[in-house]
Amino acid sequence: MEGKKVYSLMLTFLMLLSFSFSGIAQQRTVTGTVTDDVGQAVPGTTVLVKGTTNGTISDADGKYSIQVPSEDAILVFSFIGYQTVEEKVNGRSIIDVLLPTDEEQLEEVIVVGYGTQLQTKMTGSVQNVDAAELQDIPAAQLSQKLQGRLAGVQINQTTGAPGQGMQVRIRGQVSLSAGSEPLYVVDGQPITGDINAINPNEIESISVLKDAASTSLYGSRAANGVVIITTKRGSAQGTSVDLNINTGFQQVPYNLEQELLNATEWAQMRKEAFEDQGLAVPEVFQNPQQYGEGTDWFREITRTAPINDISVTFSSNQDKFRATAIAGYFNQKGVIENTGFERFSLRVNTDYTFNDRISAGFNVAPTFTRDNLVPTTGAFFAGNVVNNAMLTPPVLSPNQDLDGDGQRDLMLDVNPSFTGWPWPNYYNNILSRVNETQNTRILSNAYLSLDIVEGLNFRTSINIDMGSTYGQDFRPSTVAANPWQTVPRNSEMNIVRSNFTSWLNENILTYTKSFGDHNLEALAGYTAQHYRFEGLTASAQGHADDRITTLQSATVPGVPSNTIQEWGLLSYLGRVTYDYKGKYLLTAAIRRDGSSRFGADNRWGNFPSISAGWVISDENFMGTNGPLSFAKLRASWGITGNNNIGNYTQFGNVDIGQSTVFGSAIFPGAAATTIANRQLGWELSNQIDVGVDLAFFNDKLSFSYDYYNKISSDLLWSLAVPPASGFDSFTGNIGEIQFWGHEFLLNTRHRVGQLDIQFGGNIAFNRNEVLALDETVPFILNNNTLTIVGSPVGQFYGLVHDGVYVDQEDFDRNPKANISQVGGPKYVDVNGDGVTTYDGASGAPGSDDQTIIGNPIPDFIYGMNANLRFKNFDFTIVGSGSHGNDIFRRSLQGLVNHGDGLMNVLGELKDRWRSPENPGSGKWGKNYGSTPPQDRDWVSTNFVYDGSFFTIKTLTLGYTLPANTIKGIRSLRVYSNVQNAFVFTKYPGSNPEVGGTTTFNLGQDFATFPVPRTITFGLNVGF
Amino acid sequence: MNILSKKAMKIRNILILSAAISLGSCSESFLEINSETDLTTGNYFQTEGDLTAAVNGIYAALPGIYNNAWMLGEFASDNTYYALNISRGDVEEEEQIANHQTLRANPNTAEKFSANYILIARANQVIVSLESGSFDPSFANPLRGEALFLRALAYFDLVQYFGAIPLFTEPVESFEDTRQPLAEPSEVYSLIISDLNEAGNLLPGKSSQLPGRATSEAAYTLLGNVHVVREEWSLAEAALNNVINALGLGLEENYANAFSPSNKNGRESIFEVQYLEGPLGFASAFTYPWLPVPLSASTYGALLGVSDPQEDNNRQTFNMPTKEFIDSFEDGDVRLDYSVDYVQLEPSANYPENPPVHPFISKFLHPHANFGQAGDNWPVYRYAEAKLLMAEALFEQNSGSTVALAHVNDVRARAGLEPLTSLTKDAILNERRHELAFENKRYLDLKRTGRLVPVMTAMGEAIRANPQEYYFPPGTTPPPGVLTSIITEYEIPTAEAALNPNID
Repeated sequence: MEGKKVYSLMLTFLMLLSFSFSGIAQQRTVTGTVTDDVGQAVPGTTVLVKGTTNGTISDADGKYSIQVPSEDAILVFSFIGYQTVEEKVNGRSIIDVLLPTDEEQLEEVIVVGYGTQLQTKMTGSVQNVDAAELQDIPAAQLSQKLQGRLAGVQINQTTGAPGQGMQVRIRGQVSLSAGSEPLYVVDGQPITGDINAINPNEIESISVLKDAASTSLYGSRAANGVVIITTKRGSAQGTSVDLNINTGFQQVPYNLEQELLNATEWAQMRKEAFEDQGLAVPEVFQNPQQYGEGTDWFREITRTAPINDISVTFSSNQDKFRATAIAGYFNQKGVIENTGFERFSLRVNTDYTFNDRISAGFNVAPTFTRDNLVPTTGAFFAGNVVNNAMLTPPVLSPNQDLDGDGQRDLMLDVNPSFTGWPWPNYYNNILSRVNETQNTRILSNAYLSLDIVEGLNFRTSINIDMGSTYGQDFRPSTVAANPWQTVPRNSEMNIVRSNFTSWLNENILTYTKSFGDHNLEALAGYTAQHYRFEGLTASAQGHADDRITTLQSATVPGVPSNTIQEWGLLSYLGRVTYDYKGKYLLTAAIRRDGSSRFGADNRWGNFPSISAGWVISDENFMGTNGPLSFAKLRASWGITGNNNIGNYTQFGNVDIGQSTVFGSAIFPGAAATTIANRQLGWELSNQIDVGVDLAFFNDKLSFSYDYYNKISSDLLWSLAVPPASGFDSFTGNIGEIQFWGHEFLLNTRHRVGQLDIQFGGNIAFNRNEVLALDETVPFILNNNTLTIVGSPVGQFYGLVHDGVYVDQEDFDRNPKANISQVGGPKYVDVNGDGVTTYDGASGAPGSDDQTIIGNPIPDFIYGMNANLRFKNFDFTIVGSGSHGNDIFRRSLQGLVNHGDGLMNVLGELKDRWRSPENPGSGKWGKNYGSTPPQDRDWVSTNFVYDGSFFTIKTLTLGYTLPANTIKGIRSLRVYSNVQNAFVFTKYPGSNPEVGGTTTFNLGQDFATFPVPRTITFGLNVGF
Repeated sequence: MNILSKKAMKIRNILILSAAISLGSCSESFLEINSETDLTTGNYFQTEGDLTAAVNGIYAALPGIYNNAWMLGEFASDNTYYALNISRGDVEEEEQIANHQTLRANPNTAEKFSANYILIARANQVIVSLESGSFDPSFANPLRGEALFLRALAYFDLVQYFGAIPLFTEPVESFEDTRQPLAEPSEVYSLIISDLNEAGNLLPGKSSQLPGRATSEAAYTLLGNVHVVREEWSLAEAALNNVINALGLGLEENYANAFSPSNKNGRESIFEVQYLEGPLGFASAFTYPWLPVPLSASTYGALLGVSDPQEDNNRQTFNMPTKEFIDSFEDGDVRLDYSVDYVQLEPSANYPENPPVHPFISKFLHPHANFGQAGDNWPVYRYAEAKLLMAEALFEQNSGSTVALAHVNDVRARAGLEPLTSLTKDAILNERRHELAFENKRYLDLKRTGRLVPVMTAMGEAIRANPQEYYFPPGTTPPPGVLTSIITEYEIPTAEAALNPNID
């Protein structure tokens, strides 16, 4: 028994020892309560010991209790919708934690040009979006994800072609001939290539700079606004791995073919055409019913297509070194057969801190994309496969196999009495055509940051943007582009190879100092950027065998051509930011740009700005009670530029083909063919902005309002010059366009029990008006649009349709054209000269009956996003809309070709004029028996529609597994997402966001690639 | 902890500053980036090769002026008229010219205007580039001479037809440069005369110049012509003296030989606009708008000698020799047969039965291989004209000048005519009319001698009195008001006036 006592004592002692060796002497229990910033308990908060999987969850009262291994341990408190808080134990046993809400936008640090700024101290107009909000959206392009979230930024998906077609306009920006897209800056580098090559999953945050003060440090490139993109660098300590998988399918939710005729109706119309002309009806059309429904060509060429988006992020953040690597694979097949887009991307961002003064970093991001597309732009018979397929008479089937060889016929309708023309099998065309483009892109940055003395930092960086493209477009001998062509015909191969390299060196000196309540930051910098592009195209026709598509195997060689584009930019920048107690704010900035694009006598431009703010809510007279928790007034003014004026426009061209004869021999000669412009400069934008930012109820509701007014001048345009000069045109800077508007932005956060609601809405009213063009340019007619002083840019221009000439009396009574007939279309005599005249593209205002018939610019654009969280479920809805914009449905011109009777036509034509007793709806005139010049060719209000729409862009439902449910997994969420879920519009065409991306084809619909609805399922896993 | 010692900081700051400065100093060339795929005014007109090609480029502008110079030179005169084709509907703009009813927006006057100025702009570029570059005078002088001559030729054409015109002597370099005010004719002539005097010195003589290029004889002939127009007879005589006795110049024995494509730049040629038969884009086609319509394709083939004849009947017939002109020739004048030919028309709406024979200009019609691609050069100055100009200059100084009479008689003799015993102004003008028929001299001759108004008014009355003699088909009449208000000087075309605020 003595031994047992000793034994148990020894055991106890040993246990005590072992506990001490395992540090149990420091192990303790920590308890506490988790509350939010209004004192409410936050149940379900995950409490973790950092670096371990040891954790617990707060109870319904927000209380928790956890064992920590040492007093140096760190506890991590996290809950969705709140900011994560870390607390060092430091020997405490009770730790109460306050979790601030996540969308504390006002305290956020926003990335602006060349630096960061607190939202509360911002004096410019900047909107910030956190990429975490966008991660559920499977999209090839970044801007698709931003729809609905940015006030005053119109983002249109003009076509559903994978990887293409996004049009971004900040504050309704348009120019005459220079581009209107904003400048994209990725990790401080203004990129020179396409933004599409960047994997959106690499993005940490996006700032959209809208006014002149915020963009002015980008000087001559900033007039269209600036989008600043920051990629992920890893923030939380330690190592983590995140995997995002998003996979699903896309469908086309509408059918354009429904607007056209089916086979029976088409045959019936053909029959009526012969009857109306008093001709005998051919046998094939005597019994239209026999053809039944026929072929739905739109359905034939479209399909359900898969979409996959996978990305893996490795992030490691140690003391001195942090690195993030993001690898991604994206694959989107197009909803038109034989189309698709694929992207492989990798990004590695590293930062190294040598000591507390010196740090450096290096990023590299290679991307490889590959896409295959069929042509889907342009008017009918310009090779647009969507248009052409829909024109195919529905009695013809893509699966026709009259020669019985088991293959689809290449040409349909070899029986001429249907249409008189053999029709290419457009389904076969789409399948056999190869139009593949491969793109390799590398973005890379390296920087060195040096704190010279306290408050003085020098940062130098070298940034590279390079890419190469290889494209081949092969049309086999079995494919005809247009109905009057036959196959087999000469095949055609077009090859494009190009590459570009851009490097940027930036050197920025920043000085930060506080003197008591005065805070000052001064910045000075010098940058140099250079770009060079080289491209080569070669083509050939008539390959001996379609299987070998090399240029040398073609019998008809084309002439290869190569091109070189190059530019250089040198800049000085400076900025001073001052604030007193964070209450009175002032910023002044200037950028001086010298560009190789500008004329020799106008090389350098200065782009100054100034902005000020007043945080009224910090004033004593505002008091501390009441619902208003934050109020700031701000105003800004600045000058920015648009330098998309071409690289060599300032030079006069010399043509070395001006040869002459002496005797019987030819001698080479040269002559200048255009005039140089040594004064050529950037397009100028002079903008003021006034705004107010308010927050209520302890920042739970935030509201922003901006009014802006800007004048764009010195627009690049070609002017006619007097012929005595020896030339006919001169490219110079002319004109003035004024833009103004109001933007409203609202965000609110509400908690009801366990339901967390966040809602954001925005609405913007953007207007523009042409103030002046040039004395030699009284107006601009381009692509059936009119730009003239006193109206907005790019107005639709055409005749005003006024019914049909119902009978002879109606015909005699009204003005008409010399080709008008009874039963034909009637137009308003706008210029009052008693006759109807249409001069098409050369009809100067007043000279014929054309007038402004539509406006592609919306009365207002708006967006909303709402996010609901209940326990572990989350639900998001994002919508965006536009109201009051018109669409010019030019694709209709191909669909009202009812005279020929060769093509499918709009179902509305069943209500055409057939006789005075049967005048129809008045919208379409009679069948002339041949191509009707007026219904089709005379552009009129018949083609103008209201394009207002509201689209539910995103619907997401997700569920997050509670923490530590699965060992080894930090977090797991599953979700389902619908993209482009519902479109509410009266517009009968497929896509109300349709339009070109240049000024003169805004809002014009030429029947493009359909925009699909995408349904996906996804997984976010964190290790 | 202050890692950086003060000294190290200083060094660092100096390094940073010097880096910034060195970057700044290379800024000029960094920002001067020229196209590598096209030549531009920024990097051209600098070497001898550039300037040689640029001078050839000036010549390349000549066809643009001379292709249709017949419209204002002959068609607006009493030598020719048009044959109305009733299936052509509206009055055409060319007819306006023949009827002296030309509207300001007529594209033909606009074409003459702009074509001349294209040449002037090219010449200005060469002249200025030769001056500002450092070229050897032996290289630069002949080229300068060519540019001055060609510029003077263009300005002389413009000032005779349009009067006060914008005056450009340098390449335009800005938008404002393109809009010049009108210069008085005296100022224009000042430039022309000084240019030609200098060109006459700088240019080589015909015997040492490449055939087809400008020569000092060409410059002095043009100068003589200028002085004759300005009635500065002794100055004209002085200028033409350099031509009359020049080496290698003389009359062809055979009149036809002066125009033969196989005798281009021959001994009688002082300056010709060069063309080349064939498909390369340098062919001439003067005769085509002048052939009567309608003709059958085989007739076209027979007339033109082409192996691929076509019908080209959907037009009016322009520049048709008038009966009055044909009748004005003396008997035995070989020039008539050479200059005018006849062809039988096919039946048409104009003449459903018994279509007539119509005359046409055959002077520049020579057989060629393919339709529309003839090789005839255009004679600007021939030795025969130099003699006639000299004769006029001498006559005006001394109406009994035997030298003048001899010149005229040499020309007549070559034409198979008896010599005159004395000269009158009319005799000289008639000799010019017949010798230089259809060479775009007639309108200007009538204008400078004050005969334009009476001659053309009389023609108008003759047309109204007997329309069918002036090729109006039976049942048709001339438009109202033809040749009642004679245009002695054309307004600056609308294309210029509309864009130039200096011009009304």
